[in-house]
Amino acid sequence: MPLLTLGLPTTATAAVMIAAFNQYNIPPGPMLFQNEPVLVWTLIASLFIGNALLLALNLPLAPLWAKLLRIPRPYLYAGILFFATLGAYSAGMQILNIGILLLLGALGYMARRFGFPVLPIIVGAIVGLEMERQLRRALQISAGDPAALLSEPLAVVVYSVIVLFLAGLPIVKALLRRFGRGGPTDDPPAGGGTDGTDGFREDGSTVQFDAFGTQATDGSARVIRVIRPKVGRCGR
Amino acid sequence: MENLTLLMEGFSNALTLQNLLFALIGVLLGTAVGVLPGIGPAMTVALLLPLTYALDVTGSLIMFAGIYYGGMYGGSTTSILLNAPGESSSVVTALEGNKMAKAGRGAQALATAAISSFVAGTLATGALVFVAPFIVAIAIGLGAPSYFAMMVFAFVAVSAVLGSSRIRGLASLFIGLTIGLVGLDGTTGQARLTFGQPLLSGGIDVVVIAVALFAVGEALWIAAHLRHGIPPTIPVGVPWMGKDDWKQPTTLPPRERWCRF
Repeated sequence: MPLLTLGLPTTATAAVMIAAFNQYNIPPGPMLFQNEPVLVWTLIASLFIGNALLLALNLPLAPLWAKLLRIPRPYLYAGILFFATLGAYSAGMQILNIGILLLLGALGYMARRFGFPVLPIIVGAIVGLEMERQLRRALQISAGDPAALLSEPLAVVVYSVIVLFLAGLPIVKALLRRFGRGGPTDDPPAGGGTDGTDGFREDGSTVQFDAFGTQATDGSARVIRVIRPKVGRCGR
Repeated sequence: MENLTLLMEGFSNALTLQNLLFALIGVLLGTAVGVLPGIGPAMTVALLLPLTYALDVTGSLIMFAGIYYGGMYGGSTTSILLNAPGESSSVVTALEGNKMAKAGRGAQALATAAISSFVAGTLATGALVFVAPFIVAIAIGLGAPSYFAMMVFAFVAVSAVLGSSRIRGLASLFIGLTIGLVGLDGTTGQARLTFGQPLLSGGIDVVVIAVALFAVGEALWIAAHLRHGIPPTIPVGVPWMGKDDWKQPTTLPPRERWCRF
């Protein structure tokens, strides 16, 4: 869980968990181990316990869970909307919150409709302010000199990794593609459109293999940029 | 070995009746919402946030962690029975498990998923116990530039690497950043994007953002698509694995183990 050790959300649930930590005025991240050791180790222990509980419960209960899938969707979503409205209102006891809820809900629908991932929206909204704070602190110490952002070795390493990711990933994919197998993710299941929480939805699978920027250089290195959903990777 | 002592202490805290109860509720709730396609652990935690204002910190965080793990497991159930991954992490499970389910071995596939999930989760948490102190030792010396860089990394990972389209991912990210900007600037007190509304000066509550995007957005989406009907569920038989099935889990854990960590 990069959440506990670094305070970085890479999944929707982790992003909301950060909000949960913030709610209790406990900033998540590495300092947590220093400041709240009891809480952190209790949490880690509870992960082991939770895992064991899951195993104990789920072997006998599996058929029961399957029955859960038969609940008619309208009932289900009526309940969800009820709790959503209640939660939004109780967050500040303001009618305005319900207006914002509906507005952002429409935004969430549009995002799903047009294939925009929801995860970056929520991560941006939750982590954005903290990032701004860190940026300001860094620039205040250096009196506005942007070179200070590269003053720590870890920062340089992280930026290098980012560049490597952005530049290297298409090349690696092209190589994989060139040498036969493209890994187990080449076969996204057709019906994968019902998950709502993680924002990886693409309408059907129509946009998956159509973006080829093919570039052949003297036959030795052929760079192919493929844009396709990485379902099956470590999404969450 | 200091962490082991700390971990044991953690166990003694986590094994109190109250915390066990929270873990149980979390795991049950998490599995239930994980099973239901469209309702994920993220939405559940967001919905529960306002209800836990008054609760004990440790207890509610334990519950949330349970929801997180339960949701992952529940997602695999849905993937296997509907071939529709409830979670993006369970797509692989869908590919393998759905074949088993269609061959009339749905229950075995579910049990395999449960055991794989247990092994993967336990190993990932075990790794966390040993790796975490090293990371913390490094992290203590870090200043603002490093934290900023890591957050940039998180943004890049979330918007450009994990999604399908970089442009869409970045567009989403900037929408999110804009939503996060609403309210008074923390340093200067300047009002940003409040449109003269004093009520907005405190910013938009994270609960509202999360619930709106996940719950309301998903409900509208389902409402717009409900006419397609619900895919049929594959019936489940006896939830015990036969001898052959024990050979199956080897394909799942390595991937899931790393995903979890």
